[in-house]
Amino acid sequence: MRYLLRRLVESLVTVMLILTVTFFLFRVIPGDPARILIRGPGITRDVIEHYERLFGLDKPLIVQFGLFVRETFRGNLGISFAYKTPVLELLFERMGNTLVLLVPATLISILLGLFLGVLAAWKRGRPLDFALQVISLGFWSIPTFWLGMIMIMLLGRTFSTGGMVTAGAAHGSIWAYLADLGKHMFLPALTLVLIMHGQYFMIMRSQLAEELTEPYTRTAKAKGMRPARILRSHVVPNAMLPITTLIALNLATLVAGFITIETVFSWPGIGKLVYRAILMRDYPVLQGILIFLSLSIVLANFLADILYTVLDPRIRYR
Amino acid sequence: MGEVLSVRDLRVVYRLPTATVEAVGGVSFSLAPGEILGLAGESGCGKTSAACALMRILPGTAEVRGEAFLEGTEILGLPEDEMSKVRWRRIAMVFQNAQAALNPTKTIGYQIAEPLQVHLGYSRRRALQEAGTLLERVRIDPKRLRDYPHQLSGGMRQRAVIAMALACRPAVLIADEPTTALDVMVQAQIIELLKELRDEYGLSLIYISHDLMLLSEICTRIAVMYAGLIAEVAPTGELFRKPLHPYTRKLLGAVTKLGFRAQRLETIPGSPPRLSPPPPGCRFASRCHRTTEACGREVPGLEPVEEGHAVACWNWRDDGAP
Amino acid sequence: MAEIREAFRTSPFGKAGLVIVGIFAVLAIIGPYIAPYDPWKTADQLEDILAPPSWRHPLGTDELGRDILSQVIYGTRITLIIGLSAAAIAVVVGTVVGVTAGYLGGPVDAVLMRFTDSFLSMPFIVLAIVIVSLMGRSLGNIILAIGLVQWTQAARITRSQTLSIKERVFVLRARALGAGPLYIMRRHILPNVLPLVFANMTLVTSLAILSEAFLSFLGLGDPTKFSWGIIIRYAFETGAVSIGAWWYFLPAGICIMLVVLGFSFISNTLDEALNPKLRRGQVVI
Repeated sequence: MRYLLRRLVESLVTVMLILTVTFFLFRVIPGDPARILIRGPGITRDVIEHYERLFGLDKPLIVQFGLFVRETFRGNLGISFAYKTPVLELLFERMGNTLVLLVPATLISILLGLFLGVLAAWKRGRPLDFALQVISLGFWSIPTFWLGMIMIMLLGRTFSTGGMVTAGAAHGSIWAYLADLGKHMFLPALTLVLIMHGQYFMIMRSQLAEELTEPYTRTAKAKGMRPARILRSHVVPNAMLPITTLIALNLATLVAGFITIETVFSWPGIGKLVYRAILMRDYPVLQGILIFLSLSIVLANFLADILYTVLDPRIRYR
Repeated sequence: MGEVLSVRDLRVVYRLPTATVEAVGGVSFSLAPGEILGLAGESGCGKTSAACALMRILPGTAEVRGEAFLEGTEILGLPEDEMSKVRWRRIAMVFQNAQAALNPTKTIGYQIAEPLQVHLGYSRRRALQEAGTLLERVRIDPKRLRDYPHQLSGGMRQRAVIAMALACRPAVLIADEPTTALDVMVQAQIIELLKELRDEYGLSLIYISHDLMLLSEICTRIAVMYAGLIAEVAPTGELFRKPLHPYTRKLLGAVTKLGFRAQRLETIPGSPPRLSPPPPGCRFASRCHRTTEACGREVPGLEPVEEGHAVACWNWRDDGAP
Repeated sequence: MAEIREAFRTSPFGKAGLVIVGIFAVLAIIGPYIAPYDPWKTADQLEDILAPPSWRHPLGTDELGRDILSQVIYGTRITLIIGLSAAAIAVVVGTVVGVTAGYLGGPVDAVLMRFTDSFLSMPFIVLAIVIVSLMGRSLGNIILAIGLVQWTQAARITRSQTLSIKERVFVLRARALGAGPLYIMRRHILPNVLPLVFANMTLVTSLAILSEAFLSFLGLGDPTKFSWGIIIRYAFETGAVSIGAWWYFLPAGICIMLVVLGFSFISNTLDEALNPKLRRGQVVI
């Protein structure tokens, strides 16, 4: 309990620091940074004045910061230049689409990575371990978008590649819709799995290798347990404990992958939004996405820590 | 009476990337039913390597040679699958550091019950029930079944590990420095417990320790190891009365001079030789006060002196009283 | 040092990494002298536009008829410069933060580590995107942006190493003799964390090269240079995928993969040599 309370306070401090970094990043850079966040082309005078008042742009920086934090906690992330709608609305609209792609791809990557990691750690130093390492590290070294482009070139005819569903198609039933979605999802998801699993593979392999050197595995062997059982009942469950935290810790590294893959496959999610925002210099959207994704990652890390304390008896009883 | 365990010319060689180390250089001994054999020696002399070689739980870098007959069956050459049936059922082990030897995330009950379920096909319920009985036998409240290792005290953990080792009623139990990390009071309790259990379960014990005085309290026979070889083996009383190997004498001298238990044996000048590769002659020669030409040339074999007493020294006859 | 040499001698990964990185390093140095064409030179004839590989253009040409092979060769230098300089910035920043936090401890440590954690939670690519789009797409800004988002690992590594070193006898003795914190950090702590920093720098280099590719692909590369990421970006913009012009983007991607792989092989080998935890391992099952 004490531990969780401490983590909660730490997470809140982290959130405040993230907001601070973001705030100053967008405001200390040369030019007229504060105003670029509200003075997009084609935004009416009224709206600009409203936002200038709301964010106190005529006031000192410290006051502006206070207002910025207040507005952020209220869910006001500013207004998009390109779409002329509030950033938060845009994010919510797009987040669902991103999750549809990202959640299954991540789960499959984790499972695949863990499975291959167990295999490699068990056969450590043997040819299979060697081959798995080369394959996983090899995929990890590939820029995601490049693999996506190759996928489209090789399999683009078999599967659909633009957007989530065929544009303008009338889906007779939910099943037809899902089938169409699956056809569009397959290639981007496959690309993500191929790239992402390597990271989980390496985490699992090294964690297991460490766990395998613990004396309790020798005890299990002395007890006449066969290797498969030692792995299943002792080593893998113990290795999974730190892995829940490590997976959450590495969430930030997934972002580059899905942003570019959504760009390549025209997937209408947050990544595509980032791409458009870069092209249109839509700074409020960039700022909103930075805050939104960072806070999601902080939250995920906090949840992973809660899970860890629930799962690990050593912490549970502290 | 026949022997429960008979070990012939056991060798353990570690093939490390940087060197090849001969940790056990050809050790033979046997264990009679109900006997408690002590393995004494400084740390690094190969006691634990020999024990783990018998359990066949050494890492892949270790190469084991020789023969070991457990109740008539040779176990060192047994296929791995067969061996896993022998482990814990016929030969079990109590490890040095109970805290590390136990899985920190599984309950004590789970860990005691596990071999019962796997080897004897007990149901979970019955295995846990039996685990409770075992805990009671080592004087731990069966309620503690649900506890995790870190919730027990050091002495309790060591007793729980003993209970775990007894689960499948093995014929041979190897206890590897089971009391080293514990304070003297708890040490004495554990030793008493092991003696009781030996009678009750018809165990034969191999007790590994660097502490000769402690071994004298529990063992019927003691084998003194030095640098991977047995230097001398004799019934406990005989060894203390008439030590023949210079190393044994120095060990005993170190103990008695101090008048209390020597916690460390470093009172003997010098240190054991490097075993990668071992020196040609007697391995103790570099620390021995009385060496002859033969000592530097050839390794002395174990030579029977009397019934049950053997020594590996070229000059044991010439050496006067200590 | 002996451990590192031993690790590279025994590990096929380590050797492969050194060979790959070595080849590209040579290519980066002599590239402009061996490139068959000026990578900016556009075609005079129509048949040289988006031409597939031929004897004249071993890797084909782009939509302006420029030679892809020459672009890839020129790109080697730019890509490696970005990767290595960004990694250098990252480890310098990280080491300063980590050693300071670890050595001074207390509130300084707490503040710096919270700061590190918040950077760790911010998706570094978005952070880099923001920095480059605000500051402009120049080579220097790209290097700076990547360096400023990749320093967290070095900070954590050096901090924990510093924590363990500062309790060692020689440091305590130096402190008892009145040595100041700066002196101790420079003379005792730094030499001991440098190997780890160096190992981390090889990993960060591979991450930086990937980051550059991501930024370039999203349109934030330096338009006056050819990096591998930019080549793939141009290919994507041109629609090379739909017209099947595989020669346009395949070579640059393969180069990225090889270099990143090479650096991570080296980093893994160094890690194994420097991390006793990985070496101690004796697996019985």
